[in-house]
Amino acid sequence: MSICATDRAWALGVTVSVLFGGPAAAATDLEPRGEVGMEVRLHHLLDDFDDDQLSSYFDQYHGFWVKDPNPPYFLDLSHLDLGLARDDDTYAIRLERRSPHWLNERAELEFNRGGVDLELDYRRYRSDELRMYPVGTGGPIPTFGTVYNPDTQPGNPQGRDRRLYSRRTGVGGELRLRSDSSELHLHSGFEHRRGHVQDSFLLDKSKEVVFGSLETERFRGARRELDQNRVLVGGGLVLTPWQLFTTALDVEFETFREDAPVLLLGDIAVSDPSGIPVGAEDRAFNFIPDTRRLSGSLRLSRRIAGATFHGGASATHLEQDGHRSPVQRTLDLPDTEATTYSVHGALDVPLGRRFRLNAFAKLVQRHRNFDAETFAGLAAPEGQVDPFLERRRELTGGLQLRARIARAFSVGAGYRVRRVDRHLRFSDPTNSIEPSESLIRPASESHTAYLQGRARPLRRLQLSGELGHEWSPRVGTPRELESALYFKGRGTYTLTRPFTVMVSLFGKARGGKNDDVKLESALGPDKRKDFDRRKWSYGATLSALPSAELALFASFVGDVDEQEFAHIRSQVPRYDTPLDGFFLDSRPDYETELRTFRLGATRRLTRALDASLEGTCTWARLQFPDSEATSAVLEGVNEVRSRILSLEASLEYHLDSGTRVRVGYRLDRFGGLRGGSPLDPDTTVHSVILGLTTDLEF
Amino acid sequence: MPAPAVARVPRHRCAGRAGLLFSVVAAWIGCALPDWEPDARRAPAPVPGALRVGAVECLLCHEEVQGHPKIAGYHADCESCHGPGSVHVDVHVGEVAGDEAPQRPRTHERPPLQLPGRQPVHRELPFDIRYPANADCLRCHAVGRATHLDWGTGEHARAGLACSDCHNPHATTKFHLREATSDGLLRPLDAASRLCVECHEDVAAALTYPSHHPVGEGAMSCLSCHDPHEDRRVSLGGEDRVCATCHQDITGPWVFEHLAVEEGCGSCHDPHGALSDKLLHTAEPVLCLSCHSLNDLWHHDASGTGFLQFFITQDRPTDPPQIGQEIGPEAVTFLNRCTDCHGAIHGSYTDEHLRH
Repeated sequence: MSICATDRAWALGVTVSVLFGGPAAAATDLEPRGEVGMEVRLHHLLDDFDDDQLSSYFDQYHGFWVKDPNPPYFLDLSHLDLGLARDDDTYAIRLERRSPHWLNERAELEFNRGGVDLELDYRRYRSDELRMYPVGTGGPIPTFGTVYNPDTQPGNPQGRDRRLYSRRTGVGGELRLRSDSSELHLHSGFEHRRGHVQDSFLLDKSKEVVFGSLETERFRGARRELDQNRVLVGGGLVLTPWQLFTTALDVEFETFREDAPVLLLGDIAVSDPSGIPVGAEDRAFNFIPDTRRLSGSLRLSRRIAGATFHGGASATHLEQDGHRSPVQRTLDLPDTEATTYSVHGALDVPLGRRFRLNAFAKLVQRHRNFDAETFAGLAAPEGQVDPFLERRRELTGGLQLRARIARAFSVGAGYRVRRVDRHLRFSDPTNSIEPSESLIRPASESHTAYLQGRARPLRRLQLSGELGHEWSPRVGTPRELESALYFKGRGTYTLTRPFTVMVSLFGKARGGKNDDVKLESALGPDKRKDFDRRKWSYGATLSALPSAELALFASFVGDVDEQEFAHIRSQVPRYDTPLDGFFLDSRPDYETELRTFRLGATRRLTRALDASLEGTCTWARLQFPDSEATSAVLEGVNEVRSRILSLEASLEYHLDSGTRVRVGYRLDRFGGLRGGSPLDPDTTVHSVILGLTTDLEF
Repeated sequence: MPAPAVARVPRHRCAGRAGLLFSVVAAWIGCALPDWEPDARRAPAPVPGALRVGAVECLLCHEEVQGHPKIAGYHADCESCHGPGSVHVDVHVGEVAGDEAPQRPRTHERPPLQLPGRQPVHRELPFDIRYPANADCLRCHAVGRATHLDWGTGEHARAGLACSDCHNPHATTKFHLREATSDGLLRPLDAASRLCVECHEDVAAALTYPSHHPVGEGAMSCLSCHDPHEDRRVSLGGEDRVCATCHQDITGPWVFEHLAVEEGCGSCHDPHGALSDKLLHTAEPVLCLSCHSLNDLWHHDASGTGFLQFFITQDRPTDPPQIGQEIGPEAVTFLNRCTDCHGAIHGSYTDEHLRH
């Protein structure tokens, strides 16, 4: 079967290139230059991966459209760089395109003449995720897998192309008119996203009688079509009035449309998870609003004798436009709106020869212009779950003083503050949660003090680090840290004899806790949502040039995240009822560790032949290490131990001036365990790569 | 089964054509405009008394560095950045001459291998010629341009980066980017991203995690979200402005909004890469349970017994302990992903519980 990345949009791009290239080529003294690379990839798929119903990490990003018994292959111009250059090596027009995988493509066209820059950008890629959903049908044993739930395609339950994808195709352009101290730029863009996703699941009571009473058999996925369009138009003006400061004024307008049909709940399920009939026709399933956004910003900047001052302000108004949900039409509800404002300023000023002062402040406020009373009226009949956040205002600021103690040694000290004020609205007392039971609080406030240093004690040794303490007099959410310590550091050493070797080390860590969010209970003692988190990462990179014919590279990065939290549950919903009560269920531990090793080596075998080896291996582990029963249950369902290995070896032969042939082999292997899931990610893909690259010297 | 709600005119097609027409017309206007010559801003001499010799003299020896300047009249004039070169010529005259002068390497005369990854910070610089500092570059690039307004206060400037750490004005690459030599299967990365991961090794690793933004696949670039010249602390708008440029379908504004969304996408997601699906920095259900208090009334199975029977209860004496109980299908279902039911996790127009 053939997989070739060519479509009408790409043809359109080439046409535009010719349109622009024509007049440019007609100009005098233009020399064609460029490089064209073509690549064929033949894939041999092992294990279950060649099943059309399954996907793997490999498929997630490389994206095979159809997997039939024949080996799928990819043939495309992997890299193209073509241009018309002037005598001084500047390009009048240049087209660059990359297409490393079947569903990924990006092309950029630049045009330059007389201070005018024009750029066109075309991109196409699939965004997707590894599909792990309950099957929901097919027997009493609950399974997780990648089979797309066939319920939504009753006419073709076993048909192909039921896998999930979202494909983006876009084109954009920019026109830039520049003078010595001013600039006018206009840009526009268009993107189309098409595909389908399996959105969320409903528990449909009607299915229960068919297969029994198992909860998983009542899951029903719903296929939702995607047909989205985004149009962007904007422009800006940069001026330097009276040579005082540089001023940038930008305006942007964007529209977003979802043209896919709206699914109504009544079309999908008989009842919702709580058993309430969903028959009301005015309840849409995952309704996506059409929106329009208008943004404007003004920025000012000035540099004076090594000092930088800049500031700015912006406003963004986002509103629902046109496409209204069924419930809005039925109840004649207003459109939703949100407006965001921001104001900021920053400076970096030298104080004498040894000191520098850096300061910044920013205020951002988001206001939802949706009627809070309407919100309260729409709340679920069982009562309000969360308060309505009408306005959120965040102020951040900081001050930093750096001192250059010696020629190769500098230290700094700084302070940062973050303050968030939330205007929360609670509905009437009979249908509301108590403010004390809300998971989000009216204010957050945190302060950070830190020390940092940068040194070069030896000519080839460079060190830097920062140590800080964060403390929060007020926390606004359960996962904010009440107090925390952090550190980050880096060191680099270069050895030049007997050959060049560079070693780089880095590490960063942050740990803290929060026991300041308390849920007040009408029955029994209050419960604190304790939360502890420790997160650190570390890494080392080694690169070496042992000889003129050999280059080596190796890198290791580790990342660990440990969390512990109080799992609080309630006997009844967190509503204002006499039976209100919270219970500490358990304190599960959660731990993840990711380790990544990358290597690369290039060996120049002969004057015309290079051999290279490149590889990446990532180990991932997720577990609940403590011995409590809750942790055991969570571990049984959610434990992850996976390994992703990619290894590529190739030989590249330089035929003549600018033409080279590449033959390579690539191994992709995905293995491991996902708890509670029968999805077997043990997948192996062997690929043979044949490439031809020509450096065009016309 | 699905029924279209509203029949609408596909306005996007008109808008898309208008955008394309705009681009074509703008390009042709550009063709018609005359060439423009900027004012030259000359760099001072590195050695007192040095005089200008002209680029032609420089290129007798340094032909290989003739580059790809946007404004040929300035960048192609070597002494604009390096200062007057007469002393340099006097010192080095006679070292190479005539046929021994270095020539621009042809493709078949392959350049020597370079050290992969980040380049050493120390360099042997001649005393008699200037190497432009950041201030020299900014003398032009921070005036009348919107791209370097806040460079002086930003992270990279405070970390002591030089323009030449990422840019090579002699290079023919886009933005005059220095050619990165990072290795390890990151070749699909665009030129700018390859430079970024030379220093940001942890991000390079994250791009290989089970869930990641497709930077390593070449579908997007670090520059899609980050402006390396920007002071991120004071970027315009809210934190999620960047995310909203691609993810409009989860931006709302919703009638019922997940309040964590208001706190920023980073409340739940790690944009570079994560172990958990959908870039979640903490896997479900831990991410949800660490905030939310489930209640027994709603999360029950068909028989009416709470699925939470699979938890051990520490301080609720009415529930018998369930240590060692075999995990049932309900636990598998409920304890894996809360979003299987609460699928409209970012916001909803119809359901306060964010189920649809």
